[in-house]
Formats: sequence, C-alpha cells, structure tokens
Amino acid sequence: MSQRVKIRLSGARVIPRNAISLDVDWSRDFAVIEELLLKGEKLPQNVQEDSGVLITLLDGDSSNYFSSEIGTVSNIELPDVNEYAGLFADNVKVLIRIFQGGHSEKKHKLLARTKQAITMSDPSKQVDSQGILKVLTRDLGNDNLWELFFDEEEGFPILRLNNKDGVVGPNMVRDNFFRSTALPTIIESILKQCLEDEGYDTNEMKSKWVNQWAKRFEKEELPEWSEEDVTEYRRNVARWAHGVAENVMSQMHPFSRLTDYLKGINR
Amino acid sequence: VKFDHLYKFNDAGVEKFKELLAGKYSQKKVRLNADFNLLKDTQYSLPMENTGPFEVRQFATTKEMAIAIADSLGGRNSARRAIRDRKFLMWLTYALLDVVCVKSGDFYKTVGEEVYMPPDPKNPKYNRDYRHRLFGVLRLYCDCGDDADLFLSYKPSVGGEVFGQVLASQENYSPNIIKLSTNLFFNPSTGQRSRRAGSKTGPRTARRFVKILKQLNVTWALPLMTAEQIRELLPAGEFGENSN
Repeated sequence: MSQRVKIRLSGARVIPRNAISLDVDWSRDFAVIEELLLKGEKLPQNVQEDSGVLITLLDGDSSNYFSSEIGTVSNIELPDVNEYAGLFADNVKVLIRIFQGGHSEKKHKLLARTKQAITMSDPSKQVDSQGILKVLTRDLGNDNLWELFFDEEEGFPILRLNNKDGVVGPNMVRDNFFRSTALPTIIESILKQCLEDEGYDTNEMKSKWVNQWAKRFEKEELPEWSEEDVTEYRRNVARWAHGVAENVMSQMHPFSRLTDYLKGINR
Repeated sequence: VKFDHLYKFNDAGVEKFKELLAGKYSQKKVRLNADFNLLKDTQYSLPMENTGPFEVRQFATTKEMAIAIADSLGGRNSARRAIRDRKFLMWLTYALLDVVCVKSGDFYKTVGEEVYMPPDPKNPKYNRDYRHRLFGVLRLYCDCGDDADLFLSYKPSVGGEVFGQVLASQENYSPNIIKLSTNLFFNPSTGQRSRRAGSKTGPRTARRFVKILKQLNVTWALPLMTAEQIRELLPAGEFGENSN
C-alpha cells in the first residue's frame, strides 16, 4: 500500500509546501530550526488555529531522529536547540504533523501532515544530488579521451572530457559505449583517490559524500584506516572500490549497453 | 573476575581493544587473544572515580547485568552519562566479552556489531547505536527502567528478534512504545516473554505490532500519546487484554 493511500485512508490532509515558512541556521555546524510559521490561509480547511503541531527531524540517511510537540498552529514554540544539538550536521529532513489538540479523546488524531519531509541542507556542504561527478569539456591538449581532477577547495571529482575537435560534449558520459567502457575505471579512480588521501580518517570519511553515495551500491563498510599497515589498507581500498564499481555497473547493465551500441553501428 | 571499581581505557588500552578485534569483525568461530589482566593494569586502564565494586559473571538476564553496571556507576543517571564515554564502553565490552558473546570452547561464535565499536557520541546514529549490546541495553535501562523489561529479559549474549524488530525503527525508541511493547509481550509475574512475540509469522508478534504502529503513525500523533492510549488503538482481538 502506498504512503499516499495510507494518508488518504487516515483522513489526514496534505499540508502544501507553500503553507510552511521554514528557516534553518547552519552557522553552528549543525541544523538549528530558526523559524517555522504555518500560513493559516494555505492550510487545509480542517485545521484550526488551536490545532496542535508536532515536528519531527530526521537526518539525510534517516539515522537520527528527534520529535517534539511545538505548540499550536497560531502559536508555534520552537523546540530547545539543546534537545537536538549536533544530530543533524549536513542536512535535516523536517516533517510537520498537525493534530486535533484540545482535550477530547481524539486530541492526537492527525488532521494534516506534510506529504514528504522537507529537506534542508547546509549550503556550504551541498553536493550534486544527481551523482558524484561533475562533467566539463575542455581541450586537454593531448589525445586522451578524458581526465579526472579533484576540485582543490571542495575535493569533489571533476571529469574533463577532451573536446579538442569541438565535437565531444558533456553528454558523452551518457553514451552507451563510454558508460560501458570508461565508467568502471572512473568510479574506481574516484573512490581510491578519495580514500587514499593522506590524513584520511575513517570516521570523517564515513560522513562524507563519497561514502553516502557508495552506500547506495555497496553494503560493505569502508576499509578501516591503519597507520601500521598502509599497504594492507590500500589493498582493502582497491578491493572495496572495485566492488562498488562492479555493483554500480551491474545496475547499469553495461554489457547489454555495449552490445546494443555495437549492433547499432553494424546495422 | 571482581573489580574494586570500574575503569576506562586510556589511549594504550583503546589500542589494545582495537587490536583484539582487528580483522575479526563478522567472522564466525573466532579465536580472540584477550588478556584480561590489562583491565586492571594502570598502563592501559584508568580507575573511574565514584564507582563501586563490579563483578563479571554469567548474568541470568540482561537486566541483571544492566543493574549491576548501573549500581556500580552510582545509579541510572550516572550510567546514562558514562555510556557516552567510548573509552569506558570499550573497557566494559572487553571485561564482559565472555558474557555478551557466545563462546564455545576457545572460540567465540561471532564477533559482530554487538561488541565491535561502541557508538560515537559526537556522531550518534539511532539506526546503528542500539545494536551495540552494552550501549543498547544500558541506554534502554537508564531511559526506561522496568518499562523496558521485555528487551532486558534475554541473556546478555542474545539480541533477540523482538529487540531488532521494535528498536530498529527510530520512531519506536520512545518511552511510550517501549512500555507498550513490554505490556504486550512480557509477563512480569513469570518474568517470561510471550512465546509468540518473536515469531516471524502469525498474529500477536512483534513484527505485526511494528507494522500496525507504522499504519497508526499516519493517523495519530503517536510520539505524544501514552502507552495506554496507543494500546486502545491496536486491534482488540489481537492485542487486547484478553487476547491471549
């Protein structure tokens, strides 16, 4: 049963996004709900000014959680920041539920809720949610098809495609031939370079974008950094990165992509 | 083994803890070269102030173990603070290795996340932290006391289906749901869990309970309700007072 059907069956209406004014402060390196207002005129009609409001905060991978009653629709009292300080470091998902309130037996019955949690991210840590790779075209001044660079400030990978003849554009990464042949190597290279950085710390890396992305494809935990046996660590990183690339590719069906491509040019 | 007071590892002790478990994670039939002497050796272990005697023994239930630890720490409030200290949890895990892991002869059956690395208080993870056996059960005991009897009625080496089913969902780690779980699946007069609670199929199981909670969650503001109020919403034929 889909979530939408559940909500409809429950009788709770959907709070439209434009009924919520939400501001999050990131200056303390974690999310602080600075302002939350509910615009009465845009809320579903069954909601009253004195209906109760419940806020739930979750982090990006839904591993941290905080829930609190925050007054009424017309008089919201934000939760004490100390109750959730530090739980939401890079992004926070905010779920608002409005309940009947008052003193009746059904005072906790939900009247309305956000259809989906509203995701707010620390602008200084935002990454491209579409993937791990920014693609640019450049004249590389050589005959290589592509090269991989890392942004010096942010540390994000950038794939530079060689367009010295002016024909190649960024869409080439979507080409079946390119995907099936170059992508596994590119993924492996990105992961290995990220994890082999000197001063790399496992705990720090676990929260970084590269691991968040890799977790979608690989269940195995990141290799643990070992200063005493760097060779073994690098071996583990190579094995792990290869595993991630293999899993990514298995979802993209590169072999059939390549055969389709070859059939196309032989036609 | 008896200790006059509790300890926590220093940096050298932490290294010993990591060494002990290095490469053993998730492996089956593991031999660990534990040296329990270092638990009192000041080269590795620092005595914790204001803590009382503690004895490592085979506790009959997790609750018995949690009470012994909390008493030694000076009560539930002190214990709540202490479990935020990874160096203490590492020492405690090392000391209780033979209690929280299943041992067969010289081998430990598995060494999994229940002992591997205690949660990092600077980077708490609700969906993972509860699985650390000592942290998970001590937090439950400190936060909920007798209301968590259902989850603390197992042997310390047993996680249990009910534990995983109910606590894996972050929304369920709240006093009302913990209390309701105990009310539904634990008999205080016998100290026994309901036989059906851990079943994977059929009615009146923890799995069914969690499923129903998820559905109720889209209709009711569950985090604000008492255990009794939520119980009234459950199907009476399955979870009512006389449904056994």
